[in-house]
Amino acid sequence: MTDRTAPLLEVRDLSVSVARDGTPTRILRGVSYRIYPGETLAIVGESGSGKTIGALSVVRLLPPGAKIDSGSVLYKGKDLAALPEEELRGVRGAGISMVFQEPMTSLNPVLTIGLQLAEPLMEHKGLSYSEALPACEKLLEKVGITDAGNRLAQYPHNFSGGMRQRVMIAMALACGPDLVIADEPTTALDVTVQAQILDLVDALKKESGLALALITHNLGIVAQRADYVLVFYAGRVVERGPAEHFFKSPSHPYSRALLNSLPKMSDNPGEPLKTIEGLPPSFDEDLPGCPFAPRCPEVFDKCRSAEPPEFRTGERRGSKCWRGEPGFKP
Amino acid sequence: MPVILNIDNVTKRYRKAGGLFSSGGQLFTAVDGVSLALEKNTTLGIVGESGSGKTTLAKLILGIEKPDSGRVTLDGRELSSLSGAELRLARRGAQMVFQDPYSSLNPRMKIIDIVLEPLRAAGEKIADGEKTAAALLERVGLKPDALLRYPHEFSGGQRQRVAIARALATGPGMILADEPISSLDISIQAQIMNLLNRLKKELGISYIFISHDLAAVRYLCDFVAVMYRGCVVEYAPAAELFRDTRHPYTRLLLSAVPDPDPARKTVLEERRDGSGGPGPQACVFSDRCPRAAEACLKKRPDYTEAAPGHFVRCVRAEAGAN
Repeated sequence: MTDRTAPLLEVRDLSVSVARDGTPTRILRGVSYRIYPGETLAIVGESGSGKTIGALSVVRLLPPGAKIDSGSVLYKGKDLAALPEEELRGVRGAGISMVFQEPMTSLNPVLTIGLQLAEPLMEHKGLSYSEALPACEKLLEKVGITDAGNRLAQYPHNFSGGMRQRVMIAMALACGPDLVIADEPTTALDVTVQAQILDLVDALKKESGLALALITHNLGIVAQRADYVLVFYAGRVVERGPAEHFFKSPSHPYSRALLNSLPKMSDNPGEPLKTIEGLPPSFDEDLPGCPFAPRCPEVFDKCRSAEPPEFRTGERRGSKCWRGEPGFKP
Repeated sequence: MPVILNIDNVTKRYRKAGGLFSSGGQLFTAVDGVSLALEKNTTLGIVGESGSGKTTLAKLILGIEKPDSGRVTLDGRELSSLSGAELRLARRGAQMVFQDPYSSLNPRMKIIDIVLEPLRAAGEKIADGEKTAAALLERVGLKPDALLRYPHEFSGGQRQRVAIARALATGPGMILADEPISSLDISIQAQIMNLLNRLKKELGISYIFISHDLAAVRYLCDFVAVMYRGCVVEYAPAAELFRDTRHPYTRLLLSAVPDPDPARKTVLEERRDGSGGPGPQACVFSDRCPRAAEACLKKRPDYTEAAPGHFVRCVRAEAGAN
């Protein structure tokens, strides 16, 4: 993916806070990124790093009490961050759709698969249920579910976990989106089913040219599937760049530590694994310097007193680390 | 090497739930003639997909379920022949660590009570609860000031340490850990794996490590058993299993794991004949096996020792399937 095409979506300096006991806590701080058509963007980070909010705030799917403080989300000439709720609903599930982690809980157990699959078509395309059904059958076939006509009349409990996730993907594709945001879509599944689902998504992407924002903690999936990587830490994007650079030459010490803590097939089982000591700061902790400084193996004085801005480390690459400052000498 | 746990030709069947008004469905074999031994101070990994029988096997090992046939012997005592107080006593020798430290710790109990619970359940009189609990916490790298706090005050990794401290309370010879790291963040996973290895060294503990994370299995385990449809289809020393994979199902499983090195592209080796399952005489993997032959449908293969200590249930094992 290159800069030749115009970005499909551009997030600029997005900050989100959530009011907890009356005092606002900043959960997303100045996040910027772009997604290009056809690209798979992986969003990685620890739980609580803001990776899910960083993606879902694009369509303003925010936790209760949260609000966007500043920044913009440009999509097809509109700023989604400022769009009235009414208009945003026309984008959600249509141009930008979502797939969530738990296919067991994101489907309604008392409605048939057909009804749930038809819903986005009825909502966004104004079709009636009977008009939508032929399209639903095609969608199920598209995601590799056989005997689609009969399956539509069945309920979620008649489907296995992998099959339910296929249904969720069919729902996300119903209105021909250009971006699908998938939050840990295969985490609850067996590895073999995971591989099938990811192969399916890859094939669908090739076919329709849609872009995928993939939130995952599985760096194996990132290595195998992603074009571009965003690394979240403490509500910030601390590193961004093409996937091959992230794995070959990560710029941020946090990225390096993360990659080092993975057991590799080449590791000697006798040696202790490298770990990142300590815990990420909690959201209400306001450190004066870099949020990773207390855990960073490469920390120096400046890191504790001033928060680093993003330094460009190459084409579409950046890192929020003072070691990337031009003229830095170790 | 002395053996701490011996599973001898164990089978467990369940009746499939029928409809609300039916008297019961068909029999379903969850664990099918499994034999395994856990040597002292080693880690045995059990891998396989959901439905492969891993969890049922775990229940049989802990004496929560009784096998329909076969024997489970823990520390020389056959669990299925015990009941009541004797079973409770024997169970102290095998403890469990669960996947999700958020749901496996009672949110209303203080850490001290959580950690001492197995001792109390065994009817043990504890002279100095605080000292005992503090020593257990120290073993797992937690400070004694955690004792009077509640689970919600701790992170996922810290809670899993509490769960491990609880498992250590009765001084068990073995711990069965069911996906103990898969709900944790990557940087925390490494800490817990290091802790498990340290405890193994310090206390001479044995582990059964149930996981679908094959890189973690390779890292932690001395031996690996691969389960499919209730059967162990391959068993070998861990290094050997990953270096010289013999069973087509193990190969499928390995090919499905996304490698964190982008240069190593993984390609899924799979086939489905759509028959909905293997015949009763056939090899359990025959309907998905990319190399299934006529012989595989006629007779279920026996164990073959393909290399010293490396057992495979596949007709091709002897031929050297690689």
